[in-house]
Amino acid sequence: MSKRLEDFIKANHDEFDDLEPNPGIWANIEKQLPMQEEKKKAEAKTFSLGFVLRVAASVIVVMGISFAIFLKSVEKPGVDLAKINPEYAKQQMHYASLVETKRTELKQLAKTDPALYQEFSKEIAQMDSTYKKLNSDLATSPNQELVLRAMIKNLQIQTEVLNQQLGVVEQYNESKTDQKNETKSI
Amino acid sequence: MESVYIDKHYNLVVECKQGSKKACYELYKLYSKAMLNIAFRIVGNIAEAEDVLQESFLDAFKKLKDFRQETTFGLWLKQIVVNRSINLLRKRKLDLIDLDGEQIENIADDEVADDEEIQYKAALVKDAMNELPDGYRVVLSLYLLEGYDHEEIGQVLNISENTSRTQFLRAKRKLVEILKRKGIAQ
Repeated sequence: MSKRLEDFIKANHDEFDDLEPNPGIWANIEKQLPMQEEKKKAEAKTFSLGFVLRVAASVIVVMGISFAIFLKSVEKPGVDLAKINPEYAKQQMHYASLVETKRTELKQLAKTDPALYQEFSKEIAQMDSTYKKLNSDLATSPNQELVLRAMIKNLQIQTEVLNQQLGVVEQYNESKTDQKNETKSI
Repeated sequence: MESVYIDKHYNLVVECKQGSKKACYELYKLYSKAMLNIAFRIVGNIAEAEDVLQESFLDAFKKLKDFRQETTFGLWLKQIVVNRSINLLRKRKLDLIDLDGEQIENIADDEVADDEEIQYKAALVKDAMNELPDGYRVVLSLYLLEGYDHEEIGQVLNISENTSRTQFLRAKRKLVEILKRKGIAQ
């Protein structure tokens, strides 16, 4: 017989597993689980996809907001110049943009002579740092109009200097092409 | 039991290791029923089987850090359950080879002719198994239901492989006797 009984028992293994554990057993186990203190650590290690997505989303939102704030702060350097003196504010804008364009011009022209450009830009940088200092003083200064005037003066000088520098570069480049033409014509 | 196993619940074990109570509970839900039935077949009564179940899971969760997952959690846990169940039997002063008194020559594996007509019922066979003496029941359960071979049974019960074989044959015979007495196998 026994082979068949043996086979029967093996084949019906699952039916021999008919006892269900008492639900109270897990409660007893849980009470004695040694891992409570490690729980926080463990959760920091394993992130669910949902958690990661939420963090990613909030990072993007925070980045977006801070970028917007950054853009605004760039646009308005702390003090509204038009409130101090609208006329001066206009002038300031005018010269600042003038300086900006001349600088890029100089950069273009100076590509032919990096050493010269370096020297020129050093001068400009010095003036610019003075301008920046004035600008930062502006917010706290008791006489903002005075500071603003100084800023405009600074920009005016920068413009002049840049003009001169550009003239030098132009002359330099002209003489160069002249030389070339001369050598060609000869 | 030495081949390479891929654990379906590998990650669950990792999470439980890291201290996730939820993961541990998932493991408990997955394995508690099978483990309770294994314990019951060895110790022979529900109350003790439930004690074994609880202690085994606690033991497993406590030792989980040292479990290198080279085998499946299920097989590892099963070893714990089997060992604890057998220890419990030992405490009850069970002498696992006390049934050796019978004559071994009587136990030639006899194929009974009327075997074919028998329709076994798992529940009845199970009840009959529970009437077996502890030593028989353990060997029969381990061999037929837990998939242990005689070498492994010898190791866990601390008996020789041969003793396990004869115990198994006797257990089978006895089981058929019980079934016949109950009028199930005639």
